Amino acid sequence: MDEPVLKNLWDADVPAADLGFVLAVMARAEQRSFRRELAATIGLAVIAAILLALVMPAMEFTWQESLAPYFSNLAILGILIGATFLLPQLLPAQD
Amino acid sequence: MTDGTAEAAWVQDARAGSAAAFGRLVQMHQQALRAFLRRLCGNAADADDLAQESFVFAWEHIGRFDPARSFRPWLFGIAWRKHREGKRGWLRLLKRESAAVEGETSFAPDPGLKLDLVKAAETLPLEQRAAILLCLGAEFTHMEAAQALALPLGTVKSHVARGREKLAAMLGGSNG
Repeated sequence: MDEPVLKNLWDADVPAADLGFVLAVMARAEQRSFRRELAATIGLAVIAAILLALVMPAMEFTWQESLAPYFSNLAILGILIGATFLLPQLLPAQD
Repeated sequence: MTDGTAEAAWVQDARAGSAAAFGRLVQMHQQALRAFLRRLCGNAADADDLAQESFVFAWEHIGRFDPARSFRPWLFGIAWRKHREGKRGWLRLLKRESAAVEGETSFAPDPGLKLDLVKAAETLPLEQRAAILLCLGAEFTHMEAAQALALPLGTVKSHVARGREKLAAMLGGSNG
């Protein structure tokens, strides 16, 4: 049995070009990227919440007179701004 | 534009973050990679899953790819490593068993000589089978196969020569 015969036998097994396969690959890549970003965002939010819980007593003491009524609003705003600006820095660069 | 220059342009665009360019690379190589993995796995569903995983891994790590080299051996090298890891992984084994329980059809080649070829190839050691499949089945040069399999060139040449001899000996009777 020579090489061309082997090649011909194997060539018959090549699957047809499938656009669905290409789409499935790209969808899988997008899903993985989304999951990674979601995990990073959740992780960041948890860290921010823990830090906030740690520093809150001191902040309440300092700002009790002036900013106390607005503290929860400011804290949420701070977390959102922080997450917005920090998240792209923390995620690995898209190659 | 030839295939080679088109591929180089798509690789460059994909490295710059173009998903569309990477999609074209997937389209260009999917048939050869799926065929290689089907022959290696012996199961179409597992092979296509592995091919998707390989492409996704390639997309996520394309920044590490050296554009001075050929894309195809790099891609097939990823698939080969994933196949080897998968053979050791308990999760894949579990999935394969559950698929068998669900009655999923496995890759069924045509009867006759082709079936003999598939059976004969399955008896070869894994590295030898991969070298044969790349060089005879996917038209890789020995050098490309050596890059993909991360083996010395001499080892690949030896695998191909010995594998071909074994296949010829095993199929000699079938071929008359």
